[in-house]
Amino acid sequence: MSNRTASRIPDGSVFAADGDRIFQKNSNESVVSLWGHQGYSLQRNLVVHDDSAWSAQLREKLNALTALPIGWDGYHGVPVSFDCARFAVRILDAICDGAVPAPSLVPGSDGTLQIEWHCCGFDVELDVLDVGQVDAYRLNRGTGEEEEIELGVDFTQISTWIEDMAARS
Amino acid sequence: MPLEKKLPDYADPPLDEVVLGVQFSPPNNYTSVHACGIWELFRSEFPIVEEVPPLDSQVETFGGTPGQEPSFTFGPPPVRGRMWFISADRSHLIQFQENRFLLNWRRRPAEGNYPRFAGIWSSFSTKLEAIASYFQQEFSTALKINQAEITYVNLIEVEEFAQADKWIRLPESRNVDVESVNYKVVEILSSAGGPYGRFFNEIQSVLTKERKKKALRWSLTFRGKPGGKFISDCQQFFDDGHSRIVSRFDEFSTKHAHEMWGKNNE
Repeated sequence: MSNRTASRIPDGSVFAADGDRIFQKNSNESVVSLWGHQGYSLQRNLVVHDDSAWSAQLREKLNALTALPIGWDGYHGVPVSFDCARFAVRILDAICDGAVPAPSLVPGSDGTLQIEWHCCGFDVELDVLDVGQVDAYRLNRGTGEEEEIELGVDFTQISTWIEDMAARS
Repeated sequence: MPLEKKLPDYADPPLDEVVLGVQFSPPNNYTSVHACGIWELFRSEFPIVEEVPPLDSQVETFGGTPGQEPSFTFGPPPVRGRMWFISADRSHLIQFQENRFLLNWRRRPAEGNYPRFAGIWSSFSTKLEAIASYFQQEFSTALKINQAEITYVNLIEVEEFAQADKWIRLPESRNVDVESVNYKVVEILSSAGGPYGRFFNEIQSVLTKERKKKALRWSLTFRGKPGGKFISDCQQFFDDGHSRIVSRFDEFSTKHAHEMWGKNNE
């Protein structure tokens, strides 16, 4: 498995040899298959579009929150876990398109992360407890109406919350 | 009472690799030293060790803007790698890192039949239980699963890529000089609670290195969030994944393929 080489074939695709096989590197195949073993990204996250000031603010904040020292809260607080931080990024990437201000990120002492907006007539709080486990809360300051939902991996509902904020921004 | 639908069965499918895996929350105080403790659980059966770069966290999500990976990096490079614990005959392999456990079976040249899903599931679940016990003992925490995956990889050798439709139900291309094949369908998996995963059906032309033979690599992956966080919640997910994979394999393969691969309950 260590005798990996790469070569270019006639149609321009890059193929890499792995053991006794050759496969197409740009496949979206399962990364857990040994077929596709390529030494995947060493980064904590992938870079797709990394050019907005909004992203820069979040990156700086996440760098700080995931590097908090043990006991940062004066007790036994731990840094924000990479899993929670990465899932928060996944949520933000799915629901935000720059039409609303960057949210505040608030660490929990147990490694969780809260995403908060207090603007555009709403208070929205997403408490990222774990991968696929989010408690979401919204207050409409104009009407006093409150909503609470538990999210798994479907962000459709909170996506509409962000659209509501964007419509008033 | 409705009769349980029997899955198609093949005596000699072109199966090359099977992967069962879970992703879970890493314990807060996990260190690389604990990988040795995990190896000790399986060392007699998996005596060979290799260390490889870690897999990124992978979650199937829905809603909002689809299809994009997170858009920026943060944090230092990871300090902990992924361990491969390999069986003496190299047919089975455990992949372990702080938030992943995977069991791979791969066909070896001298090996006979594939050990069947029930056998692989039994081996996988037993090992996962052992890891869960280790987590409880070392970290006083349960193993909390957030994603699971089952993948079957088939390898079909062909004289020409234009013959793909002889084996798989693809548009006929006998009169075309086909240089490569790349076909992919992604299905959303949903339950009453909404979407929970995706099913990937992917066919690609490849070349085998040793014999320089043309082949089709047909990968079927069922990935998503199981019904609960614990091991007991996962069996239904893997059963569903296995059923979907076998059904799609059967539906997408041709009658000629069924005959050649020894379909038993045609």
